[in-house]
Amino acid sequence: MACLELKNIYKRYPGNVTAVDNLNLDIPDREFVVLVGPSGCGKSTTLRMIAGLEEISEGELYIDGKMVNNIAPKDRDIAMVFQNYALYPHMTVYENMVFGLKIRKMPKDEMKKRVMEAAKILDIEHLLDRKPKALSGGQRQRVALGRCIVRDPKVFLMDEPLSNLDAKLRDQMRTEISKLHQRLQTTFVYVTHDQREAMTMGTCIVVMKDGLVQQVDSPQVLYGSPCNLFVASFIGSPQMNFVKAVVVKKEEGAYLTFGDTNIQLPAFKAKNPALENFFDKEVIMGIRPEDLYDNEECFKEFSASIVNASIEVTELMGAETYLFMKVEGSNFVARVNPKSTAKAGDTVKIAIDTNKIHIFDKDTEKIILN
Amino acid sequence: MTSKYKEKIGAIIIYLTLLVVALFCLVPFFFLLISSLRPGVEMIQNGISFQIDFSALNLKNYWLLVEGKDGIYPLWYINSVIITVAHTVFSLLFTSMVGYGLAIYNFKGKNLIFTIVLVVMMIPVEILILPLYKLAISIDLIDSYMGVILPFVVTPTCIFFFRQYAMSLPRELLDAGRIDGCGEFKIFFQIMMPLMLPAFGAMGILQAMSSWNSFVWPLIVLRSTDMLTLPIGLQSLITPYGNNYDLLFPGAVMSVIPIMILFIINQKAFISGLTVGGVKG
Repeated sequence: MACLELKNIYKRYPGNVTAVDNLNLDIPDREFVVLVGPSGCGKSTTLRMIAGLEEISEGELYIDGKMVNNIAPKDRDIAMVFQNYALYPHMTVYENMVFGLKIRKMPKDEMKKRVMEAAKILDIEHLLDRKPKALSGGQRQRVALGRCIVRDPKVFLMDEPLSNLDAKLRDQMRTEISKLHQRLQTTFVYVTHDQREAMTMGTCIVVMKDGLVQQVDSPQVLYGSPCNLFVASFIGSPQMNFVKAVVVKKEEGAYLTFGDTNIQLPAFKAKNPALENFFDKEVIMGIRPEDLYDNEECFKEFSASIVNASIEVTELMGAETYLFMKVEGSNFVARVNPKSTAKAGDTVKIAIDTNKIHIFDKDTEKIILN
Repeated sequence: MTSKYKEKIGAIIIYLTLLVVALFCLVPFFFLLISSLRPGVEMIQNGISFQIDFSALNLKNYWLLVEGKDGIYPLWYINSVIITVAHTVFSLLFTSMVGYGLAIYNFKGKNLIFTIVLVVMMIPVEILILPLYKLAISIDLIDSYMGVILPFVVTPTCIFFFRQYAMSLPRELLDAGRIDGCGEFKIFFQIMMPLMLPAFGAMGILQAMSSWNSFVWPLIVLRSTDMLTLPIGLQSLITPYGNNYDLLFPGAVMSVIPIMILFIINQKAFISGLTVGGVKG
């Protein structure tokens, strides 16, 4: 159990490449923090700096209040799960799990006790005599987790640990890791490029892009109130729909106009002072797929914000249907009821829940109002 | 003809061809073995004869090998074993460490060192003999085991091979080792070295063979009769005044045995080690 503090952290590589740019982050004790972002955004580099596997170019890193910039990985009291498991192929599962303890010269009885406890938690007791090559991907991942658990570290670091598993196993392991966090009550720092993993597992999510932290918040806040266009587009699947629109102020209220469509903003959004500077200017309107409707009840409720859409593709997902369509020349996706009768080639009416509209500055891409 | 039938005939032809080639390779060994069981005089009288009187074959020459010439042959054998074992062990240890270092770590001058290794690989050994000899005299290594072992203990070919092999090792194991609490030497010896076993197998056989059969350098460095290695000792039995075939043939047979044993034990590792670059990329 420990808190982590990253103060003005930079990572620069030769050739003036900045992988991590002025990162500031406070990770409280027992938090499950997920670093998420596209490839090359610096999330793995950040994790490796916390682990001590990468040198910090500038800034300070504290674990439990102690500066650890110049402390070797083995002395940081951390454990790490790697993307490719990094199990020692020539050792059995048991040997893999005790290796770190042996190096620390722990008494044999204590080592055995810890391994058996961890094996029980992860349900790998029957695999202890096997070599990694005789294990499936999911079993290997459990062993990798077990190797960390036996160490009883202050911080668990995980570098895309589920990316090599198939979809079904990934879902299963995701739940198991979350359960493990609840059980161990330790600080977890988890790196992934999969926003779904981030949303489902993290108690706090750090969205990164080009080495810069974009937003640090809970999954709910990130989804509902993204701070910029990147976060809005990165979080959520299918991603948020965007369309360029002009904010027009009329006597009866404010409108967003794109093509021949005018959408009246609800009063609480229209009167928001943040919008005042953008009247008659072009902005980017964002709306989540689940805030678009194709049923009659919603047409009544959102009668001031109905648009015509031509359906291009429909995807039945089981519990929901995705409608891929064109609205005023822009690509939109709607997540609707699976009973929807819309099919490819149809022109249908779509109601927009104007309460859920996000408006972004076209130039800075920052949020104007959520 | 069905394709299955065709495949079978193809396989039979391949195996027959391989059998003929194998027999062709084994003929010299067969005559070496037979000649070692016959009196040397027969060799002088008849040359290599295909008429073999199996009832006349005996182990007398082998007994002579142990007893004759004041038991000098066993001494040469021991010398060869000591030099080969020491040379192979030290060579594998040092070259694997250099190769691993060049493959895994990033440091200034790494490319220059690797270029030097490649350049040295291209220099024929004969060019190095004279300077090495002068060096051996100056540091008093003449007529000693160290004199034979030391100059060729770190060979560029081995370094190159280990480097190529180590390049394919997963770097995450290195990180896992560091987090588990290992220092760099522990990572090498406890994690990476076991993974490099095929490379050790292949290089072990090649180094042991080259050391066991080494002729020119030991001939230059070793002087006393009781310090000679097998190839030089056996060569000393060939004189302008007549060749001692009674000792030469059994001596040659005995000298082949260790390499054969080594190859049989290490065959799997040897082959997987040599094919690794090509198969795994």
